[in-house]
Amino acid sequence: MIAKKLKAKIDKKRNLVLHLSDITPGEVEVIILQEERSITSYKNLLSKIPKHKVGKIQGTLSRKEIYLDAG
Amino acid sequence: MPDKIFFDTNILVYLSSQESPFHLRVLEKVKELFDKYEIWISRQVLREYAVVMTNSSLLQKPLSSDEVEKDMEKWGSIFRVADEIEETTINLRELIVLFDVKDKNIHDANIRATMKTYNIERLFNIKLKGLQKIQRN
Repeated sequence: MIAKKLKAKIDKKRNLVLHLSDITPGEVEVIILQEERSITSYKNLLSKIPKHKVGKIQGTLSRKEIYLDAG
Repeated sequence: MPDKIFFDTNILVYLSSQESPFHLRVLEKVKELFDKYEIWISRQVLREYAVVMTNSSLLQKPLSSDEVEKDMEKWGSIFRVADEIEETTINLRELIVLFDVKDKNIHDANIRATMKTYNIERLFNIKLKGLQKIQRN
């Protein structure tokens, strides 16, 4: 297998726009590599943050408290 | 690609607890951090959040099982969630030996081990006694 790294754009119709002047016609394998992006907007984040009225929180919420043995 | 930041369990608790004196301060900080960083939590954080939010010793009005399950789904949908993999355990073993970590401090060390696994260098936490001890050494 011959590998060639190329950059290409995806248009609004989600077509891959790529002109390969130096590759002969025929089938090729395409691997899409995409940078990871933020999975949500800030507005979306705010709307999804759980909202509760749990009253006073006892203690400092250190892990020693979280894992305190029951009883 | 933005730098990563890790939100510890108590940040999620203060974010969701509207009556907490930390709530608004944490919310403001999150807005600031959201523009700069990719925000991560871990399975351990989700688990601990569920422990705290359903614990009647820690909260005056703890959540029901149904409520906390929905919260866990929400957190997982808005932040990236780090899985614990083999490398995490290797990192944890190194930390335990290197800093003589024992007892419940191992839970803190596991957060650091997870962060290392995902190349996360920044932690957002209200109190970090255990981790500060590790990072100072």
